[in-house]
Amino acid sequence: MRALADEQVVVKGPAKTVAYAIDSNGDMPAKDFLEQEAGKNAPTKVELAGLRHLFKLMADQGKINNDEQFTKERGAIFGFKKYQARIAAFQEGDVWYLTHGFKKKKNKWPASELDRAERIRGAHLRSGGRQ
Amino acid sequence: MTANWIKKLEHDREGRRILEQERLILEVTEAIATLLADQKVSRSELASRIGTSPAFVTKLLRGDNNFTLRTLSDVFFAMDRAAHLSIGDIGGSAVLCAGPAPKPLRLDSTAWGRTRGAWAEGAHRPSPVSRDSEGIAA
Repeated sequence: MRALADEQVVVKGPAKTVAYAIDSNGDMPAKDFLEQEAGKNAPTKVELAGLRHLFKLMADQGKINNDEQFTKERGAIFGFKKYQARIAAFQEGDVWYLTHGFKKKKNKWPASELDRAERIRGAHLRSGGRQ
Repeated sequence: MTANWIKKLEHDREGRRILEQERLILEVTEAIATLLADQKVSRSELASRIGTSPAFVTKLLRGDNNFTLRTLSDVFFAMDRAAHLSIGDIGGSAVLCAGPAPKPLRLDSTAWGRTRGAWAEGAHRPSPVSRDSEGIAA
Protein backbone atom coordinates (compact mmCIF):
# COMPACT_ATOMS: atom_id res chain seq x y z
CA MET A 1 0.00 0.00 0.00
CA ARG A 2 1.41 3.40 -0.99
CA ALA A 3 2.02 6.14 1.55
CA LEU A 4 -1.07 8.19 2.26
CA ALA A 5 -1.49 11.49 0.43
CA ASP A 6 -2.15 14.45 2.73
CA GLU A 7 -5.63 14.99 1.31
CA GLN A 8 -6.54 11.39 2.19
CA VAL A 9 -5.79 11.77 5.90
CA VAL A 10 -8.68 12.61 8.21
CA VAL A 11 -6.82 12.29 11.50
CA LYS A 12 -3.56 10.77 12.69
CA GLY A 13 -2.90 9.55 16.19
CA PRO A 14 -0.39 7.50 18.15
CA ALA A 15 -2.38 4.28 17.64
CA LYS A 16 -4.06 4.56 14.23
CA THR A 17 -4.62 6.78 11.23
CA VAL A 18 -8.10 7.41 9.83
CA ALA A 19 -8.10 8.13 6.09
CA TYR A 20 -10.38 8.17 3.06
CA ALA A 21 -10.47 5.10 0.81
CA ILE A 22 -10.09 5.75 -2.91
CA ASP A 23 -12.69 4.43 -5.35
CA SER A 24 -11.95 3.00 -8.81
CA ASN A 25 -12.53 6.43 -10.47
CA GLY A 26 -10.13 8.19 -8.06
CA ASP A 27 -12.90 9.72 -5.97
CA MET A 28 -13.04 9.62 -2.17
CA PRO A 29 -16.77 9.05 -1.48
CA ALA A 30 -16.42 9.38 2.32
CA LYS A 31 -14.79 12.79 1.85
CA ASP A 32 -17.60 13.83 -0.51
CA PHE A 33 -20.17 12.82 2.12
CA LEU A 34 -18.45 14.60 5.00
CA GLU A 35 -17.84 17.78 3.00
CA GLN A 36 -21.30 18.16 1.45
CA GLU A 37 -23.01 21.17 2.95
CA ALA A 38 -26.62 20.97 1.91
CA GLY A 39 -29.34 18.46 1.18
CA LYS A 40 -31.34 15.99 3.19
CA ASN A 41 -28.53 13.44 2.94
CA ALA A 42 -25.86 15.81 4.23
CA PRO A 43 -24.54 15.23 7.77
CA THR A 44 -25.51 17.88 10.34
CA LYS A 45 -22.94 19.91 12.28
CA VAL A 46 -23.75 17.84 15.37
CA GLU A 47 -23.12 14.59 13.48
CA LEU A 48 -19.87 15.94 12.01
CA ALA A 49 -18.67 17.01 15.46
CA GLY A 50 -19.50 13.58 16.89
CA LEU A 51 -17.76 11.80 14.01
CA ARG A 52 -14.69 14.02 14.40
CA HIS A 53 -14.34 12.89 18.02
CA LEU A 54 -14.99 9.24 17.17
CA PHE A 55 -12.26 9.28 14.50
CA LYS A 56 -9.86 11.02 16.90
CA LEU A 57 -10.62 8.52 19.65
CA MET A 58 -9.88 5.66 17.27
CA ALA A 59 -6.62 7.36 16.21
CA ASP A 60 -5.57 8.01 19.81
CA GLN A 61 -6.71 4.79 21.53
CA GLY A 62 -6.79 2.33 18.64
CA LYS A 63 -10.23 1.08 19.61
CA ILE A 64 -13.75 2.17 20.48
CA ASN A 65 -15.55 0.08 23.07
CA ASN A 66 -19.05 1.46 22.53
CA ASP A 67 -20.74 -0.76 19.95
CA GLU A 68 -23.59 1.75 19.65
CA GLN A 69 -21.06 4.06 17.97
CA PHE A 70 -18.63 1.70 16.28
CA THR A 71 -19.30 -1.91 15.33
CA LYS A 72 -18.59 -4.63 12.82
CA GLU A 73 -21.30 -4.71 10.17
CA ARG A 74 -20.36 -7.45 7.68
CA GLY A 75 -17.10 -9.22 6.86
CA ALA A 76 -14.30 -6.65 6.85
CA ILE A 77 -16.71 -3.70 6.95
CA PHE A 78 -17.18 -1.76 10.18
CA GLY A 79 -19.37 1.24 10.85
CA PHE A 80 -18.84 4.52 12.68
CA LYS A 81 -22.27 5.67 13.87
CA LYS A 82 -23.29 9.09 15.10
CA TYR A 83 -26.99 9.84 15.37
CA GLN A 84 -28.37 9.41 11.79
CA ALA A 85 -24.97 9.45 10.07
CA ARG A 86 -23.17 6.23 9.17
CA ILE A 87 -19.61 5.90 7.85
CA ALA A 88 -18.45 2.53 6.51
CA ALA A 89 -14.79 1.63 7.09
CA PHE A 90 -12.23 -1.16 6.87
CA GLN A 91 -8.84 -1.63 8.46
CA GLU A 92 -5.58 -2.20 6.59
CA GLY A 93 -2.55 -2.30 8.89
CA ASP A 94 -2.66 0.69 11.19
CA VAL A 95 -5.02 2.65 8.96
CA TRP A 96 -8.80 2.75 9.08
CA TYR A 97 -10.07 3.62 5.60
CA LEU A 98 -13.48 5.28 5.31
CA THR A 99 -15.31 4.03 2.21
CA HIS A 100 -18.41 6.22 2.17
CA GLY A 101 -21.16 7.70 4.31
CA PHE A 102 -24.94 7.87 4.32
CA LYS A 103 -27.86 8.91 6.50
CA LYS A 104 -29.62 5.91 8.01
CA LYS A 105 -33.31 5.30 7.52
CA LYS A 106 -33.56 2.07 9.53
CA ASN A 107 -31.46 0.62 12.33
CA LYS A 108 -30.13 -2.20 10.18
CA TRP A 109 -27.63 -1.25 7.50
CA PRO A 110 -29.12 -1.68 3.99
CA ALA A 111 -27.41 -4.46 2.01
CA SER A 112 -26.80 -1.93 -0.79
CA GLU A 113 -24.63 0.22 1.50
CA LEU A 114 -22.62 -2.81 2.66
CA ASP A 115 -22.20 -3.90 -0.96
CA ARG A 116 -21.01 -0.40 -1.84
CA ALA A 117 -18.50 -0.44 1.03
CA GLU A 118 -17.11 -3.80 -0.10
CA ARG A 119 -16.89 -2.61 -3.71
CA ILE A 120 -14.96 0.53 -2.70
CA ARG A 121 -12.72 -1.54 -0.41
CA GLY A 122 -11.96 -3.89 -3.33
CA ALA A 123 -11.20 -0.98 -5.67
CA HIS A 124 -9.00 0.68 -3.06
CA LEU A 125 -7.00 -2.47 -2.37
CA ARG A 126 -6.60 -3.32 -6.08
CA SER A 127 -5.22 0.14 -6.85
CA GLY A 128 -2.98 0.19 -3.80
CA GLY A 129 -4.77 3.35 -2.65
CA ARG A 130 -3.74 5.35 -5.75
CA GLN A 131 -5.88 8.16 -7.11
CA MET B 1 -3.01 17.84 8.34
CA THR B 2 -6.61 18.47 9.27
CA ALA B 3 -9.53 17.55 7.04
CA ASN B 4 -11.41 20.52 5.55
CA TRP B 5 -14.74 19.66 7.17
CA ILE B 6 -13.02 19.58 10.60
CA LYS B 7 -11.32 22.93 9.92
CA LYS B 8 -14.73 24.40 9.04
CA LEU B 9 -16.22 23.12 12.30
CA GLU B 10 -13.37 24.55 14.33
CA HIS B 11 -13.49 27.88 12.47
CA ASP B 12 -16.56 29.42 14.11
CA ARG B 13 -17.80 29.68 17.67
CA GLU B 14 -20.96 27.69 16.96
CA GLY B 15 -18.92 24.80 15.56
CA ARG B 16 -16.57 24.84 18.55
CA ARG B 17 -19.56 24.89 20.92
CA ILE B 18 -21.00 21.77 19.26
CA LEU B 19 -17.58 20.09 19.26
CA GLU B 20 -17.34 20.57 23.03
CA GLN B 21 -20.82 19.07 23.55
CA GLU B 22 -19.94 16.05 21.44
CA ARG B 23 -16.57 15.58 23.16
CA LEU B 24 -18.25 15.40 26.56
CA ILE B 25 -20.97 13.05 25.28
CA LEU B 26 -18.35 10.73 23.79
CA GLU B 27 -16.27 10.73 26.98
CA VAL B 28 -19.32 9.75 29.06
CA THR B 29 -20.72 7.13 26.67
CA GLU B 30 -17.32 5.53 26.04
CA ALA B 31 -16.58 5.45 29.77
CA ILE B 32 -19.85 3.60 30.41
CA ALA B 33 -19.19 1.16 27.56
CA THR B 34 -15.64 0.54 28.81
CA LEU B 35 -16.83 -0.13 32.36
CA LEU B 36 -19.52 -2.52 31.09
CA ALA B 37 -16.90 -4.42 29.08
CA ASP B 38 -14.23 -4.42 31.82
CA GLN B 39 -16.65 -5.60 34.51
CA LYS B 40 -18.48 -7.98 32.14
CA VAL B 41 -21.79 -6.35 33.04
CA SER B 42 -24.57 -6.72 30.44
CA ARG B 43 -26.90 -3.88 29.50
CA SER B 44 -29.76 -5.84 31.11
CA GLU B 45 -27.80 -6.18 34.33
CA LEU B 46 -26.98 -2.46 34.41
CA ALA B 47 -30.63 -1.65 33.65
CA SER B 48 -31.70 -3.85 36.55
CA ARG B 49 -29.19 -2.21 38.91
CA ILE B 50 -30.46 1.30 38.16
CA GLY B 51 -34.13 0.28 37.93
CA THR B 52 -34.68 0.95 34.25
CA SER B 53 -34.94 -0.94 30.94
CA PRO B 54 -32.19 -2.25 28.64
CA ALA B 55 -33.58 0.08 25.96
CA PHE B 56 -32.81 3.00 28.25
CA VAL B 57 -29.20 1.80 28.57
CA THR B 58 -28.98 1.55 24.77
CA LYS B 59 -30.19 5.16 24.47
CA LEU B 60 -27.61 6.15 27.05
CA LEU B 61 -24.82 4.50 25.04
CA ARG B 62 -25.98 6.14 21.79
CA GLY B 63 -25.68 9.52 23.47
CA ASP B 64 -28.65 10.92 21.61
CA ASN B 65 -30.76 11.80 24.67
CA ASN B 66 -30.06 14.22 27.46
CA PHE B 67 -29.63 12.53 30.80
CA THR B 68 -29.63 14.12 34.21
CA LEU B 69 -26.50 14.29 36.32
CA ARG B 70 -28.35 12.15 38.88
CA THR B 71 -28.89 9.42 36.29
CA LEU B 72 -25.24 9.49 35.25
CA SER B 73 -24.11 9.38 38.86
CA ASP B 74 -26.40 6.39 39.45
CA VAL B 75 -25.00 4.60 36.38
CA PHE B 76 -21.42 4.94 37.60
CA PHE B 77 -22.39 4.13 41.18
CA ALA B 78 -24.10 0.94 39.95
CA MET B 79 -20.67 -0.12 38.64
CA ASP B 80 -18.85 0.85 41.85
CA ARG B 81 -17.41 3.96 40.27
CA ALA B 82 -17.98 7.69 40.48
CA ALA B 83 -17.79 10.45 37.86
CA HIS B 84 -15.53 13.41 38.66
CA LEU B 85 -15.59 16.75 36.89
CA SER B 86 -12.49 18.20 35.26
CA ILE B 87 -12.55 21.65 33.65
CA GLY B 88 -10.06 22.19 30.84
CA ASP B 89 -9.32 24.24 27.75
CA ILE B 90 -11.62 24.36 24.73
CA GLY B 91 -10.45 22.31 21.78
CA GLY B 92 -9.37 19.10 23.44
CA SER B 93 -10.03 15.56 22.31
CA ALA B 94 -12.03 12.96 24.17
CA VAL B 95 -10.06 11.54 27.08
CA LEU B 96 -11.06 8.28 28.69
CA CYS B 97 -11.06 8.16 32.48
CA ALA B 98 -12.51 4.69 33.01
CA GLY B 99 -9.47 2.97 34.41
CA PRO B 100 -9.42 0.01 36.76
CA ALA B 101 -11.49 0.29 39.92
CA PRO B 102 -9.66 2.14 42.67
CA LYS B 103 -9.19 0.89 46.18
CA PRO B 104 -11.88 2.21 48.51
CA LEU B 105 -11.51 5.55 50.25
CA ARG B 106 -9.61 5.15 53.48
CA LEU B 107 -9.49 7.17 56.63
CA ASP B 108 -6.25 7.25 58.48
CA SER B 109 -4.68 9.51 61.08
CA THR B 110 -3.62 12.15 58.56
CA ALA B 111 -6.26 12.70 55.91
CA TRP B 112 -8.78 11.23 53.50
CA GLY B 113 -7.00 10.05 50.42
CA ARG B 114 -7.87 8.51 47.10
CA THR B 115 -5.42 5.75 46.23
CA ARG B 116 -3.96 5.14 42.77
CA GLY B 117 -6.08 3.81 39.95
CA ALA B 118 -8.99 6.24 39.82
CA TRP B 119 -7.62 7.83 36.66
CA ALA B 120 -6.35 5.88 33.69
CA GLU B 121 -2.70 6.25 32.76
CA GLY B 122 -2.30 9.47 30.79
CA ALA B 123 -5.77 10.73 31.61
CA HIS B 124 -6.37 14.45 32.16
CA ARG B 125 -6.37 14.84 35.93
CA PRO B 126 -8.20 17.76 37.49
CA SER B 127 -5.95 20.41 38.94
CA PRO B 128 -6.01 20.97 42.65
CA VAL B 129 -8.03 23.96 43.86
CA SER B 130 -5.80 27.01 43.79
CA ARG B 131 -5.40 29.56 46.56
CA ASP B 132 -6.91 32.14 44.18
CA SER B 133 -10.20 30.30 43.97
CA GLU B 134 -10.19 29.84 47.72
CA GLY B 135 -9.87 33.60 47.95
CA ILE B 136 -12.89 34.11 45.70
CA ALA B 137 -14.95 31.75 47.81
CA ALA B 138 -13.97 33.66 50.92
